[in-house]
Amino acid sequence: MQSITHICLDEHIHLYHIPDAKYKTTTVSAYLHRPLCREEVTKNALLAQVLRRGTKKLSGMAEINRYTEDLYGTRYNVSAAKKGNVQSLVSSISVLSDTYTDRPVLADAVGLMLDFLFSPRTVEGVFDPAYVEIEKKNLKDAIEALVNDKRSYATYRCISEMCADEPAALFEFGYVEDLDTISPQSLYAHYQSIITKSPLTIFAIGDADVDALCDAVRTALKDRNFAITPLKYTPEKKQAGEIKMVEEAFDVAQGKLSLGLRTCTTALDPDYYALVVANSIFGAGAHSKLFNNVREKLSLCYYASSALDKFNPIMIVSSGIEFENFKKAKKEILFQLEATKKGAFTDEELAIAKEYIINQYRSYLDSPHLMRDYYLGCALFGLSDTIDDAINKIKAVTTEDVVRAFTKVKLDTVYFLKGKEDTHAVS
Amino acid sequence: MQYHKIENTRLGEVVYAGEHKSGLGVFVIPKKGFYKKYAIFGTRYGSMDNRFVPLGESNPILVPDGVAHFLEHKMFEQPDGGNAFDAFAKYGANANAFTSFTNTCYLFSCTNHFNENLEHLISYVQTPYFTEENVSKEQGIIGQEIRMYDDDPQWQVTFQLLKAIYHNNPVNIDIAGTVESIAQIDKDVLYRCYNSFYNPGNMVLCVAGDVDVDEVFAIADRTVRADGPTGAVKSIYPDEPDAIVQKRIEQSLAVSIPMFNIGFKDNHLQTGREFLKYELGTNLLLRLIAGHSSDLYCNLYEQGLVNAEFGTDLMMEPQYSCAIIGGESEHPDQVVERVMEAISSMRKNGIDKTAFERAKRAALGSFLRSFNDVEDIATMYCRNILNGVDVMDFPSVYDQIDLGFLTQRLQEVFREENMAVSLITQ
Repeated sequence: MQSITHICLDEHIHLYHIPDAKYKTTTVSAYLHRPLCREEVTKNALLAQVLRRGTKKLSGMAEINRYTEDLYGTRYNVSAAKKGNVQSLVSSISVLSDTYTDRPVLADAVGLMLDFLFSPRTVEGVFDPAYVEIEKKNLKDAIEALVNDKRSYATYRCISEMCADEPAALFEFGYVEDLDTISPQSLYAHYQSIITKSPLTIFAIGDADVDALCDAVRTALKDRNFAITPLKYTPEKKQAGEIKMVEEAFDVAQGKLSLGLRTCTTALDPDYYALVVANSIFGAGAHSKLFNNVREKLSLCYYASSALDKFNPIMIVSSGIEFENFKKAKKEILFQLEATKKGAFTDEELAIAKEYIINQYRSYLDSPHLMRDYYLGCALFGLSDTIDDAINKIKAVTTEDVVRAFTKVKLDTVYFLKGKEDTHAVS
Repeated sequence: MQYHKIENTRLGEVVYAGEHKSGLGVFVIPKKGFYKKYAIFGTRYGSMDNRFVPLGESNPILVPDGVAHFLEHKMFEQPDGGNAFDAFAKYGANANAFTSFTNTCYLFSCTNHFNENLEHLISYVQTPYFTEENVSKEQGIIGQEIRMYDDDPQWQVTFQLLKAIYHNNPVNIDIAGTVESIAQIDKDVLYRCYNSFYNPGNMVLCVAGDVDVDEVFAIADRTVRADGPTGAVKSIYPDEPDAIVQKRIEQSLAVSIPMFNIGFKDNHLQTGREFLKYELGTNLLLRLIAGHSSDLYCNLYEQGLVNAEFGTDLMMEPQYSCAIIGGESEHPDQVVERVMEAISSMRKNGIDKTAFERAKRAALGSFLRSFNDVEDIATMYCRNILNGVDVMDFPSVYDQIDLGFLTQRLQEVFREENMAVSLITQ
């Protein structure tokens, strides 16, 4: 198992290093954590895009992209990602390890990664108005582009109908209607107000000199006075009420069915591992009941699967079907849901579902991205399970645990994206 | 079987290569410290191979569009009525398969029971079981896969482009076929195609991960069958004119913003080491013309004509080649005009030497990066071996790429008369 070094630079500034020399790259990411809320979500998403455009040293896109190409094609990104009730501004680089380069490049890449967050380009004391203008347009494009992938769109629409006022429903790119009210001045004021108040987490995965990295972070932060407000998270566990039916018509060839279910369980709950195993039996993977019945037995679809949100108590089932098969597909999905709840699965199905999850957990150990994501979740929400612990807890799940966890799962919302000409009623 | 070691110190990588008596090429890339082990078993048989001379026969036959992909789905069917996924699931593996224009590959990744999974992979791909009933069941599933792609603008913008570029080359036929063409597929045509293309002499097995190299070769030795006819299969591709079909092709879909692909037909097809050189060189050229550090991209972006979705792609195989510059824009025609201006200026003024060296350095980084992931390594290896390319040649080919070669490629590929535009509009 990989070792993790945890360095506490300040009460709310933490650095984690996973020194795995098997990678040819080093990945370093800095996360500034904000509460995920309707008031800030668009501002943070736009802020990420504007920060990516220029630093005090490298003022524009051409300079940045030429600089990173010279660093052996270093990849960089600044984005706003959500997890539970947290939206994080993330600046990240992935750079060829110094072992494979003619000259050391890691320090330069880390410098750029920190500059994006802590030393952005300004014009007359605010963000460059030209950048803000273009990025507002690009963010609008990105928000509207959700509809271009009908499967993701149907999932998102289902969640937003089900979880109206909950963090799960907030779109991480924000909302078009907020954009008009944001100016270079107001965005910069927002930046200044959050930059010293937000908990900071830094991850380095791969070959890296931790002391040098800590020094670089300290230098980037040195002239700022931090007064960090810690984040708290208690996921709200709403019960499903009367089933909500939503349909929308598009000019499409295939219908997209999304079922939103409330699970009353997140990774912060003891039943989480049992729910993960239950979901695997029910709908995650080619061994699952959904794959084998909705697809293989009834030939209704190419894909039918269920997915959990680790930090929100919800589950989404999605499938692409002929419009007229709406009722048939929904009925079969719900039939399999009930079967899983009743424990209608064999010991072998249970064992296979566990193997599938264990293989996924072990695969995290080969991906800088997945490792970072796993341990970021732990750091944010105070979870202490290592990947080994998680595997052991999955192994310990029994049939009774699965039934107990899945009994709490209730259908809340049915969303159907149908064709323009389709006359089949949803209910 | 005997195997030999190929070491490349610049890449810090080793490959063990052997040939099974059936003609199957076996390649193992050991990766110490990785938990995931990955195997991919591929055949030189894709959607383009719809006209071929069956192994051991002398006359060509024509099969319905979409057979290779249909066959890929049906390979999971087992004689005991089960499904090949079952044994993988039992051994904790994540299994899948894919069909491209030129290849069909079966694969799995696992962190446990690797030997059992590998034996199963080789065995089930050698065990066809097609019945009228299981063929007709699949028509519903694949029908939905086709519908899914019908609504996918990213796929449609590329696929429409191929239709605008290729007259006769079967790369202009959708990989999965159509709902109508797959209705013509029966078990006999599946067996016919299987018996030709799935002979070990037409296939390759690649493994990457922290594996016991001897054991992999031993498993291949005892599992790969060598009892049938074997060898490469002769596919017949119709003659393809150098010219494109039409300048512009447009399709309307429910999208938020128009999407475009500008494609350049490349008539200089290669195999083997030359293929690697042409692929690398053309990708470098695409980066220089329209990469994220190019003046073209930075200016278009600053002016709000494109967003970060703008990018390049090279669809290159020994059977076809098309260089693509694509993205999203409210004003795609203006973007096309600007792209053509940038190309014409580069053709006239030559390629900037500093930019070339920078692009080359970035390409090296990007290649080395692909060795971070056992799936990427084996998939890359498999595709290249099927094209007659040894990935370990990359550093020496890389050294050979110079401005002169890129200038040659610029002149022969990036021409107004080779160019077509595909548009997806609202």
